[in-house]
Amino acid sequence: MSTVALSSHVSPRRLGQLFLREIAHGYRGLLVAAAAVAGSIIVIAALGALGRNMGGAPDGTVIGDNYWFYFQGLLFLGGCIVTSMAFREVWQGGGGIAYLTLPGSTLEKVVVKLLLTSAGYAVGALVLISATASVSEALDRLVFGVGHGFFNPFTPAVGQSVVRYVVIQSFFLLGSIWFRKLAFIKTALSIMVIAVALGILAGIALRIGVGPHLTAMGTGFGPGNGTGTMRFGRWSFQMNGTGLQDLFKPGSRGFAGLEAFKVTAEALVIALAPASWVAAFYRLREAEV
Amino acid sequence: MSFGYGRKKLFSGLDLELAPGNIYGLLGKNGAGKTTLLKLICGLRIAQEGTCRVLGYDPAARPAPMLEDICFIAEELAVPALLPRVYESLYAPFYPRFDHGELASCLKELEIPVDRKLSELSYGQKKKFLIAFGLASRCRLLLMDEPSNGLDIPSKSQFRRLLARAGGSDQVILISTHQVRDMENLIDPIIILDDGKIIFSQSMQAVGARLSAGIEPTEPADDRVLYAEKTLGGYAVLRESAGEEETTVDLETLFNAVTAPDGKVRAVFQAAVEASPSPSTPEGGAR
Repeated sequence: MSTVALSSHVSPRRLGQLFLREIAHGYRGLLVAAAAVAGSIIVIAALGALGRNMGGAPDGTVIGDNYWFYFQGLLFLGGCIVTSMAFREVWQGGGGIAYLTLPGSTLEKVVVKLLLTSAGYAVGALVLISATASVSEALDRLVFGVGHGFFNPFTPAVGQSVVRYVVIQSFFLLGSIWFRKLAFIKTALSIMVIAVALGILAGIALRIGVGPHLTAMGTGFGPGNGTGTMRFGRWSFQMNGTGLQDLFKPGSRGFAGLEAFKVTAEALVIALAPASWVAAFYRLREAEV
Repeated sequence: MSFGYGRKKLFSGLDLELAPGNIYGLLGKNGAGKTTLLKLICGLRIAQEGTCRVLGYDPAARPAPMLEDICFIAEELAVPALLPRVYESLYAPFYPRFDHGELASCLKELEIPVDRKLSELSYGQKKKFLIAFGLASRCRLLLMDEPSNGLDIPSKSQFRRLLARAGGSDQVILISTHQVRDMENLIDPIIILDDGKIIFSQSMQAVGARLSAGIEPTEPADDRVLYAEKTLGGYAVLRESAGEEETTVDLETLFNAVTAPDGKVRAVFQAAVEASPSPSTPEGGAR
């Protein structure tokens, strides 16, 4: 690709200007939302601490990691809602005309929206929850003598959550350019329909593959504590069929196959993120208003 | 170029070439496809057949260097909740030839309040701001869709003044309008779109040279009459010019005559085109 051709697709000047434009357009709404989230967390945490204090909890009691829960909600639910609105302006009459004729390549426009709604949003959520948790903890311990524990943004679990968020939000980014209206709801429903369809297909495949060994079988995330439960990381398979446990016992071909399936499935899900980015690029390139 | 919505063809074999240094007027009946043509030119719609080249680029790909040289002021306006100076600081850097002094001058002339957010302005004020921004962008292709709609009477005069002094030798301005009276003596050449085709594309000089216009008290019946319509004070009459002194042809009469079903006026210009050698493509134009 020649320098001229490359500069027509990516220019640092235009990228910087597109970032500034996005921030200038959205910062006020995001600040209001952030203030509402922070306020709600502080109030709910204070009510919890007050309850424990009135219940006679001694000073210095730590009553659970609530901020982790808030972080997950803010990251996944809030992030997917914000991402679903990323390309909303394309479908808003005059807004679409202004955005699509804005001097910037399709690649630059997608990259800017992607970075802001994925990494940008995740960093923002981490900063917001860390700051809110610090203020909330300080207040609760000072006033009620009871806290919830500080939020640590530097744990491996936070990193894993951010990676999972980037994968999931990529579907919502595609949904925001694909659907003209109600992008969040339509994307969530689409994901559910696809998941149910894949589940049915997997069930049929398993029934065909290991049917003769099967009397009852359940799969799910979580610890799994029934008879014949086998664990693969976060996955657990509960197998109560005669001979099925032998088929998938550690070291067997079945066990190795299941492990390979799990790794392949996770890799495929992760690969769906860049696939969604590419699909979003082509969808925006072909958008007509 | 061909284009349609669904199965309905809007343009079929449309052929148009624009040369720099002109302020074109794009006229047509409702639903003729004026706005769609502007959208095709700037890449908001994609031609289904044929080719479209704008400033040397394929507009369907919406390349950034092409967009840096195009400004489209649509009838449907969208402005953010920003002060004019903030808007200028955010959007002007996208246009390499942006003239900040020209914007300040246009805003002053159009009397746009600069201390209020754009979203709080009236429709006419928003439109005037975007026209001022478009003129200051110094884009080589400026497209305007019904720019005088929503402007009050003084604003229309101000708009005409601004547009008259705009339009550099390398610039194409294409104005789609129904308000021909607002654009009289400003748009030249005239392009008329009808039934999916460009049925007329002539400079006003060519119109004046080939047609003779006048108001007559009674309905004319001679053979040279190409078109006559009843108007206040008599009949507006167009005749084929027989070498007499050039007259100014009223745009509304011209439009009605060109789109008349008998096609007599069109035939006069068609005959002239067939008699003259084909013109060469102007450098840097839009086709």
